Amino acid sequence: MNPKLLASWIGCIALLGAAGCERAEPPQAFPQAAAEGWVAAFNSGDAAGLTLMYTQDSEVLPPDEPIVSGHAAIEEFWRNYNPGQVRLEISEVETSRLGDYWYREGTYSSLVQDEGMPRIGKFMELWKKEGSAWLLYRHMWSPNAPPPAQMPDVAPAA
Amino acid sequence: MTTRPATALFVLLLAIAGCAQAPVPEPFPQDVADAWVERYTANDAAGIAALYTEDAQLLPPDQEIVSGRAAIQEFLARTNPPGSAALEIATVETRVLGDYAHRQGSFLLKGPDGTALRAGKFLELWKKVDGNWLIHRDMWSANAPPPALATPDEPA
Repeated sequence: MNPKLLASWIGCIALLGAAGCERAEPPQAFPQAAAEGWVAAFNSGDAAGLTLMYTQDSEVLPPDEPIVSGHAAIEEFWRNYNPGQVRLEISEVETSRLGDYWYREGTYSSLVQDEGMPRIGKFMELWKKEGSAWLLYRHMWSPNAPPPAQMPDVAPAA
Repeated sequence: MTTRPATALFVLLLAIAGCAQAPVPEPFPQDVADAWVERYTANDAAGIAALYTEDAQLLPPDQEIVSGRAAIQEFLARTNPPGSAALEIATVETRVLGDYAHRQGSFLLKGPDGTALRAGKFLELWKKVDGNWLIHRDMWSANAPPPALATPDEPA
């Protein structure tokens, strides 16, 4: 082959390769709409809707309970959790892009019906893209103080 | 004229090498994770704290976030004094994601006679700082509520 022609071809392939490299880093923002949808579903007591916000291979890591794996178990978990009776707010959120994942952390305030004071806690989340949707892959949280039920409400008798 | 294809080929190889390097993740820093367990077993709070980033956070259950290396050392000295229950750690999943890594695992606290006291799970976010892998976020919780407190109506 003519050396000039060969050089052009190789140069072309190199440019295509470089363009492919550029495409490999999508500059995307954290899927805020999905995160807000989660809170809306939680506060309206929509366990089935909440479940759709998790990946098929998702795991929920709740405090004082074993890991909850997969859609069926996650839906049952949230149904038993009785969302809708709890008003949740999220704040102090920080997000970081980790390769194909998003990491999110923050604090929550949940006001349980018949409790005067909200329970405050913190959470860690890992989000993953499944198809065209960003979904929760790992979801862990814990309160900043023991739940009221664990706190002795009267001093033990001497 | 024969150098031109050679130069172009070199550029192509560089481009391919550049492409190929990005998706290959480096292995999870298991040696650092092993050092954590060794130092925990040795009740070495300062040694464990050195395995966290300066602005690391512990997210313990039923407690406020513990921020920064000094506070982490103080927390570990308080919660893991000599004579504490032995801790077994098992890694369930690791993913190295650029300068960050994710680890999920399980833990088991054991009494001096080997009986299981409490089992739980953890999530960690690791960060590479100046070439060193360190723990940046560390959250854990038990798989069951703590054993019930002794209540006054309990039979004597």
